[in-house]
Amino acid sequence: MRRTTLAALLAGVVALAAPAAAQAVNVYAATSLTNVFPALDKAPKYSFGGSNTLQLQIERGAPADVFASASPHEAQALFHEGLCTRPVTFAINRLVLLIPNANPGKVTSVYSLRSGGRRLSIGQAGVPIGGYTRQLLRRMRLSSILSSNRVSQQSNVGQVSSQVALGSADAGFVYYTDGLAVKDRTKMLSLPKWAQPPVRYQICTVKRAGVDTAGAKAFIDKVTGRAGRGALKAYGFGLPPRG
Amino acid sequence: MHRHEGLSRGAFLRVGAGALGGTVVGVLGTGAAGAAPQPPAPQGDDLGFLAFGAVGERATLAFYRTALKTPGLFNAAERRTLDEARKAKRTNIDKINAVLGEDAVGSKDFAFDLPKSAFTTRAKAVELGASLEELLVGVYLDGAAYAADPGTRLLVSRILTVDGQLLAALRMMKGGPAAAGLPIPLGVEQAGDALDKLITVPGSPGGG
Repeated sequence: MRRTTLAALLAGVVALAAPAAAQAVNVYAATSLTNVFPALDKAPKYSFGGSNTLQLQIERGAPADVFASASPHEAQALFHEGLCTRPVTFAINRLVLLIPNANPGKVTSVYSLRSGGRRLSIGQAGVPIGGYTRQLLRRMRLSSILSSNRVSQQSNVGQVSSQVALGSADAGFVYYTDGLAVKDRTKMLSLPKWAQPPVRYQICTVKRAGVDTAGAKAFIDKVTGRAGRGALKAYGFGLPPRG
Repeated sequence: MHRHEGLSRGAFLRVGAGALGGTVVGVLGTGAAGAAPQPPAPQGDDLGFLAFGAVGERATLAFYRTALKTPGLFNAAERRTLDEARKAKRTNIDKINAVLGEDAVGSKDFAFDLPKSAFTTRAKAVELGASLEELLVGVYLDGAAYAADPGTRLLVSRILTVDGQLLAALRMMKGGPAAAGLPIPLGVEQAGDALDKLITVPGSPGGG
């Protein structure tokens, strides 16, 4: 009798577990990871967007298993709220100034923007690319270019690079890797190293009822392991020291 | 060959104070006598003076460390002077980073590629050190004049006083007069271009 009950229970557990195991891991990731993550692993279900937007969605109970943000701020906030495991840094980036190949604004360096009157695309203040851009401009004492040029603010870095690539903006501040993704239509102008804010990507497992912890761990191991580091490097990202 | 025989701490401070003379007093200028100094609260682009200072101070710290580690370049008295400078740099970094808060420049944010050839002779080493201090003093002069926040102006001016002393000491090591006048004020654009040649960002992609 006891053996029959145990077997029935076991069967029930297996039946309940089976659909979850078959489901893809839900990865919420910063827009700048749009190309590299699917190239590394096609299996997960991806939701790409501005890191701050994704953070907000997770706070409101979105069914994410993994969160990868373009700055430590969002992942650390979730960690401190008890909504994700301790984040680890897995990639490094830097800012560049992107201009269209035709360069209608005649932008030759970031200092060209001082004269004003150009169409400038930047990230919104709350999204990592927007925060980094403003930080860089304050360090360079160039915040005034945000008022002397016609500035359009985007909700993620992909929109900024698209605007420049389509010629809708004379220049835009993006990550180096986003510049590489549109290199056939744009040119990247370097920005001073001394003024670069440290651009660090962090990843963590989301804590919520029903989370696929094993799937999330496997994905994070892949991203931080040899295959992930290889893919990130191939897509132009910098890498933190191993460990 | 004329070799500077080093400075006592007292002489070191006097030389620097003399070299800076009235300039710092001038830029500090107009505060009411006896009023409590305002704590720094950088406004807008004031951050640029401090951010450049934090990176530049780390570059000069790397210089003094390397100079002290390189055998045979400096005599004992000079090494004491360089060690005082090294300690002053640490203090400057701590003061700046305390104000920068989340924007503080960490010890691992940058690596400094000081040319090895600069440490093959005493003269070359002193030349490199003086050129780095001139960048800092130039930017701090600009900051002391143009920072919007009075507390930030005060902080920048105090660090300018310290670095002006270090520059004077290095000039004396070069055999020149300590009080050769302050460098011209420098914008962070110009000074940053010079500093960028000596720094790398560890892990940064695309050789950046």
